[in-house]
Amino acid sequence: MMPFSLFLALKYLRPKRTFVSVVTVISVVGVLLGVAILVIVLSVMTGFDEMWREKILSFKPHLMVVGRTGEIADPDALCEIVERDAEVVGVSPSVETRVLVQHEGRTAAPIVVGIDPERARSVSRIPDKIVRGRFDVSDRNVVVGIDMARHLNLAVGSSLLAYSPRNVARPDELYLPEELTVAGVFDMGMRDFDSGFMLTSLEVGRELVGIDSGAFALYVMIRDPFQFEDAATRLRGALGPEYAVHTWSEIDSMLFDALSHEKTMMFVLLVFITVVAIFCVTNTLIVITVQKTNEIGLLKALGFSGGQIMGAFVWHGWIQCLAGILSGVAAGLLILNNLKRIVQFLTAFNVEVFPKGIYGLSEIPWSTSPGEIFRIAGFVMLFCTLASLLPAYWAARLDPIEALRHE
Amino acid sequence: MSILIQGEKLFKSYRMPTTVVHVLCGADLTVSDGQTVAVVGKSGAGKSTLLHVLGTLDRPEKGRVLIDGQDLYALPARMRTRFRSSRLGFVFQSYHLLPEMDVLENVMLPAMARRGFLLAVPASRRRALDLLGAVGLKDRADHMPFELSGGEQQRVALARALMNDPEIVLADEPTGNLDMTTGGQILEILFELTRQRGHALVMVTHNEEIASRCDRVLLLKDGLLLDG
Repeated sequence: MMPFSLFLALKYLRPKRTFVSVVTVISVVGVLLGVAILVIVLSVMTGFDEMWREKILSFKPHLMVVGRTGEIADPDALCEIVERDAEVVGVSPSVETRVLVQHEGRTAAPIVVGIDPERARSVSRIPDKIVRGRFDVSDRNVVVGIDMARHLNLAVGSSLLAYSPRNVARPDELYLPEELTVAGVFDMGMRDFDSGFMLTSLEVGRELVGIDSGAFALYVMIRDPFQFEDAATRLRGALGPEYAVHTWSEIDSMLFDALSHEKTMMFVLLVFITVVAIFCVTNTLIVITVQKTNEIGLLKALGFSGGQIMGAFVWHGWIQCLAGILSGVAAGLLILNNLKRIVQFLTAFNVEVFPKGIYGLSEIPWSTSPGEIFRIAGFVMLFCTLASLLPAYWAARLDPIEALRHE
Repeated sequence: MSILIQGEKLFKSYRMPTTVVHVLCGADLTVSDGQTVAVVGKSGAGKSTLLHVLGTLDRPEKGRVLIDGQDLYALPARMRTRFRSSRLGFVFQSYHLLPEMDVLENVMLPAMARRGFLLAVPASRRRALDLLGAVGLKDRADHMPFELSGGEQQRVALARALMNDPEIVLADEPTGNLDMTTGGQILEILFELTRQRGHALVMVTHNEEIASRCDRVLLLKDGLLLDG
């Protein structure tokens, strides 16, 4: 059985002579725009977050084992222990340091990663991202990022000089630079990686940091990178207290924290737009209350309670919000699914929405989930309810005699 | 006949920007079961105010409105609302039909007020159709109010007033907006239906000819009710 309040709200949606009330349509469009903007922006933020995760997971190790007191003296023995874990799919000893590289008078200061050439393919997806040459980090070969190659004018077979930071650390001794040969160029599609990293053999890495044996860390890849906590806990147990196990989330915690805060900040800012849109609902209900003052007076005279009249206006607000939410979600998803076309269309008018040069991406990433949509819908419904309560309360409190006299 | 509703020493005034208008100054009134009472008086004498006070819509400053010995204004607002929906029927001069609802829905409104749910019982629907039949509008049940003439709209309002089988019908100049012929027809229906069903009727009018058709005529003058 339909409550009278809902019945009356549905009646108020359809005025006498038009299909649907114009003021109602305006406020539904307001909610629609607010919801669509929330859906689009939050989905793009989530898309960026996932894109970063994906890029990071394709470039960096899922877990990193480091010695608590310094270098890992016997990395091969440690690798054996780590490999016993069923979830581990790859492990390699590594050294990492920042170096100064020089080619044809141009310089750059990338991080060089020295890695076991035999195990390199099991701990990196860089081999799949080689765009020129081949993935070969044996002997004195290096693979470099495409942006660094462009900056230093490197081609496959080019020789570059790598200066170790030891030259700065011990100024009384002179170390000659390492001469390395470019075997391949990778393109991870992310400027930080493509301009700031190069890979070489573990041997060359050791020479650059000035150690004869051992490694700074073990790179570990696991079957499901999102199960990193469980795997890290198991490895901590297997390796003992002398070693620390860091997860990919901890290693790049600053980035993920920043992304999370950016998303929260965007949500807070966009909420204001949505709140303004929801004010349209309040406005519509106030207009309807004024228009229907006479009828409200009659209903009270006939014995309808203030609660029933208040209910009718809250229902009216809910119906507007629900229509706004449903159409807003649909509009948001429609725009997201056609984002590429919209960006291309705007480009035709010299409006560059997403410059490839800055983001290094061919299209705007986006991702949404039912959970996120429901959260937005729930939030908007809550605000709509609050926005409806004031005019509804006002309508319920109208004096029937004054209301009946109102023309 | 037993006393159905009683107004005791009713006072009501309106505050204007510069003055206070006293419209009821100790008015007394008793209405018995099934009795028809006309309240006459000049425009602005307070006839409608008296009706609103009796109908629990406008609290008097002093005095009591009693039904079954119970002072209605001593009841909580919720109880007064319930009382209005179950025991009173209103007929207004300007019909006050809800324009968004069709004729049948308008007639059923008091039943909805009483039950809280819409079209809950087919019995309500049957009763509304019967009442529309009694006022000669059964075939217009699905029409919208703006499709009806003034006389037809007032007939719908009569049917609506009788929907919950009230003990007392309060009519405020029910023919005031109608021509003489149509007004006469409306009165015929009103008197016939209230008499048939044994409802008491308190009707405000300034037409003495109409008033003379009631069992009692009361004159509201200087805030007091006098037997006319």
